[in-house]
Amino acid sequence: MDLSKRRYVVVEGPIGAGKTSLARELALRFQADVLLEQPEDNPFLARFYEDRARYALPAQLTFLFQRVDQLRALTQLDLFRRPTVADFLFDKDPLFARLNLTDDEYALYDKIHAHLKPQVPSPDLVVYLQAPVPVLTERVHRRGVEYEQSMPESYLARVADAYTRYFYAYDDAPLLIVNSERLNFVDDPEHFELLTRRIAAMRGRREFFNLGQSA
Amino acid sequence: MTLAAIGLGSNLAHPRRQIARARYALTRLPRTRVLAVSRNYLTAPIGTTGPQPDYVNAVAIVDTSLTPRALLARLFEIERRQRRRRDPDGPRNAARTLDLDLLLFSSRRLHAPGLSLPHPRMHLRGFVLVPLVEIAPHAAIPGRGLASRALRAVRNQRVVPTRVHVSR
Repeated sequence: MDLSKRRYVVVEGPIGAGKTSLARELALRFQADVLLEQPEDNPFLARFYEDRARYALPAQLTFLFQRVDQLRALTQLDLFRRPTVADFLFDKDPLFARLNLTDDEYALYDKIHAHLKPQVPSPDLVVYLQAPVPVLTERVHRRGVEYEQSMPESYLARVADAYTRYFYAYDDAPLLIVNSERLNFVDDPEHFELLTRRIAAMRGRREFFNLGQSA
Repeated sequence: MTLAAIGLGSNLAHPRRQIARARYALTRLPRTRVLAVSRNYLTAPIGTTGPQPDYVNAVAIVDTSLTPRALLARLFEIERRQRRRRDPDGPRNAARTLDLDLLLFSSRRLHAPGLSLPHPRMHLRGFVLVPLVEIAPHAAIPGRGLASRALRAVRNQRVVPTRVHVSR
């Protein structure tokens, strides 16, 4: 893959899909810059997982401002001068807001969002990592982030479903939909090479990648 | 915004404790997040006259918005803080207890006094490549190809993981 032809690549997918690891590996391989979420800098996130109704709004607003700040920093740094791999789409924010906020809260969130008007460039490629909910659950448990351990499978299922619906309608960028169930991009060099070849060969607007499919 | 790889090494004054302190110090760097740190590895010193204790080595991957120079200056600061206190009657150049090397800074390639990127000898050093490939198995070294391939060329160097981390 020649990442220089794709200046801005986004890895997306539900919690536990392996976004951050893959984004990091791609960046280290192709010497791209990274744009990574900073969940540990969100003081409301741990509390959100304990009491979702109560802390959804502050957690969501914190993420919104964090992303706006990141965008601003990028713009100042001459946006995407170097190829960049991100582990989130800016649209992720309203997606989670719709999922977790009450109607009144969402209306407020929406007003703030509209007011901030984040000017988001379209990626050159989105890699959407899918996996069945039990696989996501198992990965979340395995990575052992303390505040995530109380996350019920039903919540993961709703997140996964929201992503499915979001990407069903997605048409802002070429989309590679990856079934990551039997793929391990970090530990299996073959899986990683297969994926990078698949990305390099991608020509269409929407393609699928499963294990066993030739690159 | 930029991924950098940092090599940690120590063979004096409780090396594993030195490495553990340095790992913590990295998490306190400004505008920098530690994304991954390898296990500790033991390496026998090569090419030294007289016996020397084994080295403990590790590699960290950080996401930083510092410049390479600024990051390097911060690493020197950590080294300085952990440098063995000098004995006024001892030898003038007391040995360093900690070495921090800036190995990779994304695609950056430069040769300047005091800073070469990527680190000019990293592709020859098992004690750098083994921990690097542990946490970044697909990493490439600008101008040198894949780290995993470089590692195959130096597999005769003995680098063994230590049993446990010192948690402090």
